[in-house]
Amino acid sequence: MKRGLAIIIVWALFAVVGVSLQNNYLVSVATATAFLAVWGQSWNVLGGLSGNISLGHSMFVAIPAYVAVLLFQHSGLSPLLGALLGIAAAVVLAAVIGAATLRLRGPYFSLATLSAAAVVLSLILHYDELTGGPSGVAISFSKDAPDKLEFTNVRAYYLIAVTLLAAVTLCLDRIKRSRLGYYIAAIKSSEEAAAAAGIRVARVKVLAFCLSAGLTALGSVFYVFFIGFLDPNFLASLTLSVKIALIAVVGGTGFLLGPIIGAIFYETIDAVANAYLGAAGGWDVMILGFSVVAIVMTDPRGLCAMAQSLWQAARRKSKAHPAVTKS
Amino acid sequence: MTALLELEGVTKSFGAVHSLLDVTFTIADHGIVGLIGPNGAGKSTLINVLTGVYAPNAGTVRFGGRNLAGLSTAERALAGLVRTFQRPTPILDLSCLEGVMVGGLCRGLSIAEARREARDKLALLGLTDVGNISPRKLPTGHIKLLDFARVLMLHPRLVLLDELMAGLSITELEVVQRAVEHLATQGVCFLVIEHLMNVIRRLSHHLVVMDAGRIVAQGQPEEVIRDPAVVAAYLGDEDERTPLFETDHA
Repeated sequence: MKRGLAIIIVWALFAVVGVSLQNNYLVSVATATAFLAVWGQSWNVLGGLSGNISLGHSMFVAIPAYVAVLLFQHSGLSPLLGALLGIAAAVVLAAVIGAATLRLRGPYFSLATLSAAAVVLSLILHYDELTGGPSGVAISFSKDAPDKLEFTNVRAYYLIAVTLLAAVTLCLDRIKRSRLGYYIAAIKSSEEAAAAAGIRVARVKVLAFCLSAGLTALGSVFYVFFIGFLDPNFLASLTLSVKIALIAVVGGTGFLLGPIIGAIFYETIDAVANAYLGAAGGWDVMILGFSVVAIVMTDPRGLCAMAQSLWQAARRKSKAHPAVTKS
Repeated sequence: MTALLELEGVTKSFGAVHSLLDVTFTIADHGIVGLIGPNGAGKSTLINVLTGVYAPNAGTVRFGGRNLAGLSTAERALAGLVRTFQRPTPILDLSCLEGVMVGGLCRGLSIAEARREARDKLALLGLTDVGNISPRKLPTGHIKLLDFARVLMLHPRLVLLDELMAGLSITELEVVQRAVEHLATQGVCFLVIEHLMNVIRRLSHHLVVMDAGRIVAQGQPEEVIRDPAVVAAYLGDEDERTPLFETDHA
């Protein structure tokens, strides 16, 4: 309850600040950041809670985006209906891949998801008559039409993005404290012990993977209408898969704020490096790489954990005698 | 006396090594059975076969008259055949109470019902004040008791205790033994694997001895302990008198 209220307050804060920004570019960056955080939060349902690292979440971004946009372009289907079909497609794909690969332990699941996403990218590039191939598809825009997810003011997309982020965060919070959440936590600690406690391990893992895929898909349909363009080399890329996992881990998988902090951290460095150092030199990637290594070496539990221990240390220091607290 | 668990000709080999060789025995539907044997005798393999971690190469396992072949560990647990682990297995991301609740949730309890019953189980094992703490902050002994409490939430008919009591404090040891005896009077059966001979002698109504994958003796505990085959298995050479009686320290 208390956390639910906190999430709503943070949501309202983000919404007000974002909408009142004058600079359209900044709002676009904030919107992209919020979508990235949505994906990170969705990734956490499996990756954060169960410790099974998916490196193929871009497929759950790409497939629903293509389903919704192509149905919209070719048969005029409302993107909201298209979103439902896209989400269904992502969930089915997750169920199939999960059933086949979640029996694998350790790095094998990660490798399997990575390969599956690579296959999805190849298929999109290969069937270019349907998908537009490497050059993608531009969504034809005319006027404001909320039922077609068309808005001329970027702030509308920003509001959608932060609302989705709040919804997915609430969802994750509920999952954590649900029956399913307890089962996933048990599986994360030890699959043998979970099975011994009566948990059907494979089924629970596949369910978590499907949920994670479905939530990712939800964000991706809105994202692609915000961008207005189906770009396979972004949507289905390995880079995006890694980015989603990375921001969740760097932010801290044990924290509801983790992916949000991770996404802000990532996009800020990215934007600043691009603005001041130029995108061509690859400075952004280098700076990001070094900062990620630095964070993981300082505290592998992520930025939120770091902030938490700093805060606890400060509180201890203010409570106790200064001479005693040095440890 | 009807049988709860029946093993018939159970064999499990890893390559050329027979971890279990033609093991046949039954556990009655009441009481506490002790299982002892030197390291490598096949005790843990037996538990892994019973709980479905390993499929036996030959032989059948029946539980409550039902052939267990093909059932998963979880299905066996839900049917009332549960185990604890030699190495404790806490659920690190949950509080102690939530970790215990998991067993009840699997049995179909609501979260509120599971919470209530988990408190009872913790109380039974003398862990009343650890509920909201993370298991990361508990000593090993307490964590082993949490494992025990978690599987008790499944209302098992047979509990396989794989060296649950090794490494417990004297107080914990006393609490666990009393809990096991209490549950046994309520009809829960136990198969207790221990190296602590005084525990085995106090608890067991029936004692089974394994060596090199076979059952070498079984019967009344005090008689079995004096069985020449058992003494040989345990002590081997006259000069190396180590385990059987000297490991009595808790």
